[in-house]
Amino acid sequence: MPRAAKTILVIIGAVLVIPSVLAGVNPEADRKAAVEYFKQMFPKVPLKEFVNGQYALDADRRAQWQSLQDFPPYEFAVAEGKEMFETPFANGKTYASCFENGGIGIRQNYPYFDEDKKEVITLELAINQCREANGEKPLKYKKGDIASISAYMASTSDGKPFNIRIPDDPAALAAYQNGKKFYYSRRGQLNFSCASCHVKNPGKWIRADLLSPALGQPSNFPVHRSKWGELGTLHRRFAGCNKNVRAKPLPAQSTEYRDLEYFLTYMSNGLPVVGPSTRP
Amino acid sequence: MKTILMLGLSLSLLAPLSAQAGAKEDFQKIYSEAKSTHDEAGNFKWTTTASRLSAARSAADDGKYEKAKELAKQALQLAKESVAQRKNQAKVWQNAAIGG
Repeated sequence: MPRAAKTILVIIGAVLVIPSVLAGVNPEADRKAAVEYFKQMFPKVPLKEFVNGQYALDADRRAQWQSLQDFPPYEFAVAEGKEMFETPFANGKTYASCFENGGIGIRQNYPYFDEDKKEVITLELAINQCREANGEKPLKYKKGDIASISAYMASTSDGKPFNIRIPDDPAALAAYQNGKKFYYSRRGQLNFSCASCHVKNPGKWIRADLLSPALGQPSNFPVHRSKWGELGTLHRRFAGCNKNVRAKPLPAQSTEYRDLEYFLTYMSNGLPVVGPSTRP
Repeated sequence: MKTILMLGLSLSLLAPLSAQAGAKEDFQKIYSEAKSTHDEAGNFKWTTTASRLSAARSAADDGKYEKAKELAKQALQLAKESVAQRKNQAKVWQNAAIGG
Protein backbone atom coordinates (compact mmCIF):
# COMPACT_ATOMS: atom_id res chain seq x y z
CA MET A 1 0.00 0.00 0.00
CA PRO A 2 1.44 3.41 -0.89
CA ARG A 3 2.68 5.47 2.07
CA ALA A 4 0.21 8.30 1.42
CA ALA A 5 -2.73 5.88 1.50
CA LYS A 6 -1.48 4.43 4.81
CA THR A 7 -1.19 7.91 6.30
CA ILE A 8 -4.73 8.78 5.20
CA LEU A 9 -6.04 5.55 6.75
CA VAL A 10 -4.26 6.32 10.04
CA ILE A 11 -5.74 9.85 10.11
CA ILE A 12 -9.24 8.54 9.34
CA GLY A 13 -8.79 5.90 12.05
CA ALA A 14 -7.70 8.52 14.58
CA VAL A 15 -10.60 10.81 13.66
CA LEU A 16 -13.03 7.95 14.19
CA VAL A 17 -11.43 6.47 17.32
CA ILE A 18 -10.40 9.54 19.38
CA PRO A 19 -13.93 10.99 19.79
CA SER A 20 -15.34 7.60 20.85
CA VAL A 21 -12.52 7.11 23.37
CA LEU A 22 -13.08 10.61 24.76
CA ALA A 23 -16.86 10.44 24.73
CA GLY A 24 -18.11 11.12 28.23
CA VAL A 25 -14.83 12.69 29.39
CA ASN A 26 -15.86 15.66 31.51
CA PRO A 27 -13.04 17.16 33.60
CA GLU A 28 -15.25 19.69 35.39
CA ALA A 29 -17.75 17.00 36.40
CA ASP A 30 -14.80 14.91 37.66
CA ARG A 31 -13.48 17.84 39.69
CA LYS A 32 -16.83 18.60 41.27
CA ALA A 33 -17.36 14.93 42.10
CA ALA A 34 -13.89 14.78 43.65
CA VAL A 35 -14.57 17.85 45.80
CA GLU A 36 -17.83 16.29 47.02
CA TYR A 37 -16.11 12.96 47.67
CA PHE A 38 -13.44 14.50 49.90
CA LYS A 39 -15.87 16.84 51.62
CA GLN A 40 -17.92 13.81 52.63
CA MET A 41 -14.83 11.90 53.67
CA PHE A 42 -13.54 14.79 55.82
CA PRO A 43 -16.59 16.92 56.70
CA LYS A 44 -14.70 18.97 59.32
CA VAL A 45 -11.89 20.00 56.98
CA PRO A 46 -12.48 23.34 55.19
CA LEU A 47 -12.01 22.96 51.42
CA LYS A 48 -9.00 25.29 51.20
CA GLU A 49 -7.24 23.32 53.93
CA PHE A 50 -6.82 20.31 51.63
CA VAL A 51 -3.77 22.01 50.11
CA ASN A 52 -1.98 21.30 53.40
CA GLY A 53 -2.30 17.55 52.87
CA GLN A 54 -1.73 15.47 55.96
CA TYR A 55 -1.48 18.63 58.12
CA ALA A 56 -5.17 19.26 57.46
CA LEU A 57 -6.03 15.83 58.84
CA ASP A 58 -3.89 15.25 61.93
CA ALA A 59 -3.55 17.71 64.84
CA ASP A 60 -0.16 16.44 66.05
CA ARG A 61 1.38 16.58 62.59
CA ARG A 62 -0.11 20.04 62.08
CA ALA A 63 1.44 21.32 65.31
CA GLN A 64 4.88 20.00 64.28
CA TRP A 65 4.50 21.58 60.84
CA GLN A 66 3.42 24.94 62.26
CA SER A 67 6.46 25.09 64.53
CA LEU A 68 8.65 24.24 61.55
CA GLN A 69 7.14 27.17 59.64
CA ASP A 70 8.83 29.61 62.06
CA PHE A 71 12.05 28.99 60.14
CA PRO A 72 11.06 27.14 56.96
CA PRO A 73 13.92 24.97 55.70
CA TYR A 74 13.33 26.03 52.07
CA GLU A 75 13.91 29.76 52.67
CA PHE A 76 17.52 29.81 51.46
CA ALA A 77 16.58 27.83 48.34
CA VAL A 78 13.83 30.34 47.52
CA ALA A 79 16.29 33.22 47.94
CA GLU A 80 18.75 31.44 45.65
CA GLY A 81 15.93 30.79 43.18
CA LYS A 82 15.10 34.50 43.13
CA GLU A 83 18.72 35.38 42.49
CA MET A 84 18.97 32.89 39.63
CA PHE A 85 15.65 34.07 38.22
CA GLU A 86 16.89 37.66 38.13
CA THR A 87 20.45 36.97 36.93
CA PRO A 88 20.78 37.62 33.18
CA PHE A 89 21.75 34.77 30.83
CA ALA A 90 24.90 35.14 28.72
CA ASN A 91 22.79 36.94 26.10
CA GLY A 92 21.65 39.54 28.63
CA LYS A 93 18.03 38.37 28.88
CA THR A 94 16.47 36.88 32.00
CA TYR A 95 13.78 34.28 32.73
CA ALA A 96 11.27 37.11 32.91
CA SER A 97 11.52 37.51 29.11
CA CYS A 98 9.98 34.06 28.57
CA PHE A 99 6.91 34.33 30.77
CA GLU A 100 3.69 36.25 30.94
CA ASN A 101 3.85 39.06 33.52
CA GLY A 102 7.61 38.60 33.71
CA GLY A 103 7.07 35.22 35.41
CA ILE A 104 5.68 36.80 38.57
CA GLY A 105 2.41 35.44 40.00
CA ILE A 106 1.78 32.88 37.26
CA ARG A 107 2.30 29.53 39.00
CA GLN A 108 -1.46 29.01 39.32
CA ASN A 109 -1.76 28.72 35.51
CA TYR A 110 0.67 25.79 35.24
CA PRO A 111 0.61 23.23 33.77
CA TYR A 112 -1.16 24.38 30.62
CA PHE A 113 -1.92 22.67 27.33
CA ASP A 114 0.01 24.08 24.37
CA GLU A 115 -2.42 23.87 21.45
CA ASP A 116 0.31 24.33 18.84
CA LYS A 117 2.67 21.70 20.19
CA LYS A 118 -0.22 19.51 21.38
CA GLU A 119 1.41 18.82 24.72
CA VAL A 120 1.25 19.71 28.38
CA ILE A 121 3.77 22.35 29.49
CA THR A 122 4.71 22.29 33.15
CA LEU A 123 6.44 25.17 34.92
CA GLU A 124 9.72 23.24 35.14
CA LEU A 125 9.58 22.38 31.44
CA ALA A 126 8.89 26.04 30.62
CA ILE A 127 11.90 27.07 32.73
CA ASN A 128 14.17 24.78 30.74
CA GLN A 129 12.61 25.79 27.42
CA CYS A 130 13.39 29.37 28.41
CA ARG A 131 17.00 28.46 29.15
CA GLU A 132 17.44 26.64 25.85
CA ALA A 133 15.78 29.44 23.87
CA ASN A 134 18.40 31.75 25.37
CA GLY A 135 21.38 29.51 24.63
CA GLU A 136 21.71 28.01 28.11
CA LYS A 137 21.94 24.31 29.03
CA PRO A 138 18.78 22.78 30.53
CA LEU A 139 18.75 21.98 34.26
CA LYS A 140 18.11 18.56 35.76
CA TYR A 141 14.44 18.21 36.58
CA LYS A 142 14.10 16.66 40.02
CA LYS A 143 16.03 18.89 42.41
CA GLY A 144 18.64 21.60 42.73
CA ASP A 145 18.49 24.83 40.75
CA ILE A 146 15.26 24.04 38.92
CA ALA A 147 13.46 23.32 42.20
CA SER A 148 14.77 26.60 43.65
CA ILE A 149 13.68 28.69 40.64
CA SER A 150 10.30 26.96 40.55
CA ALA A 151 9.92 27.50 44.31
CA TYR A 152 10.63 31.20 43.95
CA MET A 153 8.10 31.49 41.12
CA ALA A 154 5.52 29.57 43.19
CA SER A 155 6.14 31.90 46.15
CA THR A 156 5.11 34.87 43.98
CA SER A 157 1.72 33.20 43.45
CA ASP A 158 1.11 32.54 47.15
CA GLY A 159 -2.64 32.32 47.77
CA LYS A 160 -3.70 32.65 44.14
CA PRO A 161 -6.26 30.02 43.12
CA PHE A 162 -5.24 27.39 40.58
CA ASN A 163 -6.76 28.10 37.19
CA ILE A 164 -5.86 25.17 34.94
CA ARG A 165 -7.63 25.32 31.58
CA ILE A 166 -8.50 22.46 29.31
CA PRO A 167 -9.06 23.97 25.86
CA ASP A 168 -11.71 22.67 23.52
CA ASP A 169 -9.25 20.43 21.74
CA PRO A 170 -9.44 16.61 21.61
CA ALA A 171 -5.68 16.43 22.21
CA ALA A 172 -6.03 18.41 25.46
CA LEU A 173 -8.87 16.22 26.62
CA ALA A 174 -6.82 13.14 25.73
CA ALA A 175 -3.88 14.46 27.81
CA TYR A 176 -6.22 14.99 30.79
CA GLN A 177 -7.70 11.52 30.36
CA ASN A 178 -4.22 9.94 30.09
CA GLY A 179 -3.29 11.61 33.36
CA LYS A 180 -6.46 10.37 35.00
CA LYS A 181 -5.84 6.85 33.71
CA PHE A 182 -2.31 6.94 35.13
CA TYR A 183 -3.60 8.12 38.52
CA TYR A 184 -6.17 5.34 38.82
CA SER A 185 -4.20 2.45 37.28
CA ARG A 186 -2.65 -0.01 39.68
CA ARG A 187 1.00 -0.63 38.93
CA GLY A 188 4.13 -2.15 40.38
CA GLN A 189 4.58 -5.48 42.13
CA LEU A 190 2.58 -4.17 45.10
CA ASN A 191 -0.36 -3.48 42.74
CA PHE A 192 -1.11 0.04 44.03
CA SER A 193 -2.46 3.00 42.11
CA CYS A 194 -1.94 6.62 43.19
CA ALA A 195 -5.64 6.51 44.07
CA SER A 196 -5.23 3.41 46.28
CA CYS A 197 -3.52 5.68 48.81
CA HIS A 198 -4.74 9.19 48.04
CA VAL A 199 -8.39 8.57 47.12
CA LYS A 200 -9.30 5.40 48.97
CA ASN A 201 -7.20 5.78 52.10
CA PRO A 202 -6.21 9.38 52.90
CA GLY A 203 -5.92 10.03 56.63
CA LYS A 204 -4.73 6.48 57.26
CA TRP A 205 -1.19 5.42 58.08
CA ILE A 206 0.99 3.38 55.79
CA ARG A 207 3.97 2.47 57.94
CA ALA A 208 5.16 5.85 59.27
CA ASP A 209 3.48 7.91 56.54
CA LEU A 210 0.12 9.60 56.95
CA LEU A 211 -1.57 9.52 53.55
CA SER A 212 -2.67 12.84 52.07
CA PRO A 213 -5.83 13.36 49.99
CA ALA A 214 -5.58 13.76 46.20
CA LEU A 215 -7.31 17.12 46.41
CA GLY A 216 -4.77 19.93 46.72
CA GLN A 217 -1.76 17.64 46.33
CA PRO A 218 0.20 19.67 43.75
CA SER A 219 -0.48 23.01 45.49
CA ASN A 220 2.50 22.81 47.84
CA PHE A 221 5.21 21.93 45.31
CA PRO A 222 8.13 22.23 45.05
CA VAL A 223 8.37 20.72 48.48
CA HIS A 224 11.11 20.41 51.09
CA ARG A 225 10.94 16.88 52.44
CA SER A 226 12.75 15.91 55.61
CA LYS A 227 13.49 12.60 53.91
CA TRP A 228 15.27 14.42 51.07
CA GLY A 229 16.81 17.15 53.20
CA GLU A 230 16.20 19.54 50.29
CA LEU A 231 13.63 20.82 47.83
CA GLY A 232 12.27 18.51 45.16
CA THR A 233 9.85 18.82 42.28
CA LEU A 234 6.47 17.15 41.85
CA HIS A 235 7.91 14.74 39.30
CA ARG A 236 10.54 13.67 41.78
CA ARG A 237 7.68 12.78 44.11
CA PHE A 238 5.81 10.92 41.34
CA ALA A 239 8.93 8.84 40.70
CA GLY A 240 9.33 8.14 44.43
CA CYS A 241 5.71 6.99 44.78
CA ASN A 242 6.08 4.70 41.77
CA LYS A 243 9.26 3.25 43.22
CA ASN A 244 7.57 2.67 46.59
CA VAL A 245 5.10 0.30 44.94
CA ARG A 246 7.91 -1.35 42.95
CA ALA A 247 6.90 0.20 39.65
CA LYS A 248 9.74 1.39 37.45
CA PRO A 249 9.63 5.20 37.65
CA LEU A 250 9.35 7.18 34.43
CA PRO A 251 11.67 10.07 33.61
CA ALA A 252 10.77 13.46 35.10
CA GLN A 253 8.90 15.53 32.48
CA SER A 254 7.99 12.42 30.48
CA THR A 255 4.67 12.80 28.65
CA GLU A 256 3.03 10.46 31.16
CA TYR A 257 4.11 12.47 34.21
CA ARG A 258 3.17 15.79 32.55
CA ASP A 259 -0.29 14.43 31.73
CA LEU A 260 -0.57 13.15 35.29
CA GLU A 261 0.31 16.62 36.63
CA TYR A 262 -2.26 18.16 34.27
CA PHE A 263 -5.04 15.92 35.61
CA LEU A 264 -4.01 16.24 39.24
CA THR A 265 -3.64 20.01 39.15
CA TYR A 266 -6.95 20.45 37.33
CA MET A 267 -8.57 18.61 40.25
CA SER A 268 -7.20 21.39 42.50
CA ASN A 269 -8.67 24.25 40.48
CA GLY A 270 -9.89 26.99 42.80
CA LEU A 271 -7.58 25.93 45.64
CA PRO A 272 -4.71 28.26 46.53
CA VAL A 273 -1.04 27.93 45.63
CA VAL A 274 0.87 27.31 48.87
CA GLY A 275 4.21 26.15 47.53
CA PRO A 276 6.93 25.81 48.45
CA SER A 277 6.11 23.90 51.58
CA THR A 278 7.49 21.20 53.85
CA ARG A 279 6.63 17.55 54.19
CA PRO A 280 8.13 14.70 56.27
CA MET B 1 41.90 -51.40 28.56
CA LYS B 2 44.08 -48.32 28.09
CA THR B 3 41.78 -47.07 25.29
CA ILE B 4 38.68 -47.45 27.47
CA LEU B 5 40.38 -45.58 30.28
CA MET B 6 41.38 -42.74 27.95
CA LEU B 7 37.85 -42.55 26.54
CA GLY B 8 36.33 -42.45 30.03
CA LEU B 9 38.73 -39.75 31.12
CA SER B 10 37.99 -37.64 28.05
CA LEU B 11 34.23 -37.96 28.56
CA SER B 12 34.49 -37.01 32.21
CA LEU B 13 36.42 -33.90 31.24
CA LEU B 14 34.05 -32.92 28.45
CA ALA B 15 30.78 -33.47 30.33
CA PRO B 16 30.94 -30.33 32.50
CA LEU B 17 31.88 -28.26 29.47
CA SER B 18 28.87 -29.47 27.49
CA ALA B 19 26.59 -28.91 30.51
CA GLN B 20 27.98 -25.40 30.78
CA ALA B 21 27.29 -24.82 27.09
CA GLY B 22 23.68 -26.05 27.58
CA ALA B 23 23.14 -23.78 30.56
CA LYS B 24 24.51 -20.81 28.62
CA GLU B 25 22.10 -21.42 25.74
CA ASP B 26 19.19 -21.94 28.14
CA PHE B 27 20.07 -18.70 29.91
CA GLN B 28 20.29 -16.73 26.69
CA LYS B 29 16.90 -17.99 25.54
CA ILE B 30 15.12 -17.31 28.85
CA TYR B 31 16.87 -13.96 29.37
CA SER B 32 15.90 -12.79 25.92
CA GLU B 33 12.26 -13.77 26.47
CA ALA B 34 12.26 -12.10 29.91
CA LYS B 35 13.67 -8.90 28.47
CA SER B 36 11.15 -8.68 25.63
CA THR B 37 8.27 -9.46 28.01
CA HIS B 38 9.55 -6.75 30.39
CA ASP B 39 9.57 -4.27 27.47
CA GLU B 40 6.02 -5.35 26.58
CA ALA B 41 4.89 -4.07 30.00
CA GLY B 42 5.46 -0.50 28.72
CA ASN B 43 4.95 1.98 31.56
CA PHE B 44 3.87 -0.83 33.87
CA LYS B 45 7.39 -2.24 34.26
CA TRP B 46 8.31 -3.51 37.72
CA THR B 47 11.54 -2.60 39.52
CA THR B 48 11.80 -6.18 40.72
CA THR B 49 11.88 -7.47 37.14
CA ALA B 50 14.57 -4.97 36.24
CA SER B 51 16.72 -5.95 39.22
CA ARG B 52 16.39 -9.70 38.46
CA LEU B 53 17.34 -9.08 34.83
CA SER B 54 20.34 -7.08 35.89
CA ALA B 55 21.42 -9.75 38.41
CA ALA B 56 20.98 -12.47 35.76
CA ARG B 57 23.15 -10.56 33.30
CA SER B 58 25.79 -10.01 35.93
CA ALA B 59 25.85 -13.74 36.90
CA ALA B 60 26.17 -14.68 33.22
CA ASP B 61 29.06 -12.23 32.79
CA ASP B 62 30.79 -14.07 35.65
CA GLY B 63 30.21 -17.40 33.87
CA LYS B 64 27.66 -18.59 36.49
CA TYR B 65 25.07 -19.74 33.96
CA GLU B 66 22.97 -21.96 36.24
CA LYS B 67 22.46 -19.06 38.64
CA ALA B 68 21.87 -16.68 35.72
CA LYS B 69 19.26 -19.05 34.26
CA GLU B 70 17.41 -19.20 37.59
CA LEU B 71 17.37 -15.40 37.93
CA ALA B 72 16.21 -14.99 34.32
CA LYS B 73 13.36 -17.43 35.01
CA GLN B 74 12.31 -15.31 38.00
CA ALA B 75 12.50 -12.17 35.85
CA LEU B 76 10.37 -13.80 33.17
CA GLN B 77 7.68 -14.72 35.69
CA LEU B 78 7.61 -11.17 37.12
CA ALA B 79 7.55 -9.66 33.63
CA LYS B 80 4.58 -11.83 32.67
CA GLU B 81 2.72 -10.62 35.76
CA SER B 82 3.45 -6.98 34.90
CA VAL B 83 2.13 -7.47 31.35
CA ALA B 84 -1.02 -9.10 32.78
CA GLN B 85 -1.38 -6.10 35.11
CA ARG B 86 -1.08 -3.65 32.21
CA LYS B 87 -3.75 -5.50 30.21
CA ASN B 88 -6.07 -5.84 33.17
CA GLN B 89 -5.76 -2.20 34.25
CA ALA B 90 -6.56 -1.00 30.73
CA LYS B 91 -9.98 -2.61 31.24
CA VAL B 92 -10.73 -1.86 34.88
CA TRP B 93 -9.04 1.42 35.89
CA GLN B 94 -12.22 3.45 35.37
CA ASN B 95 -14.13 1.32 37.89
CA ALA B 96 -12.10 2.98 40.66
CA ALA B 97 -12.16 6.51 39.23
CA ILE B 98 -14.20 9.36 40.68
CA GLY B 99 -16.45 10.41 37.81
CA GLY B 100 -15.81 7.07 36.04
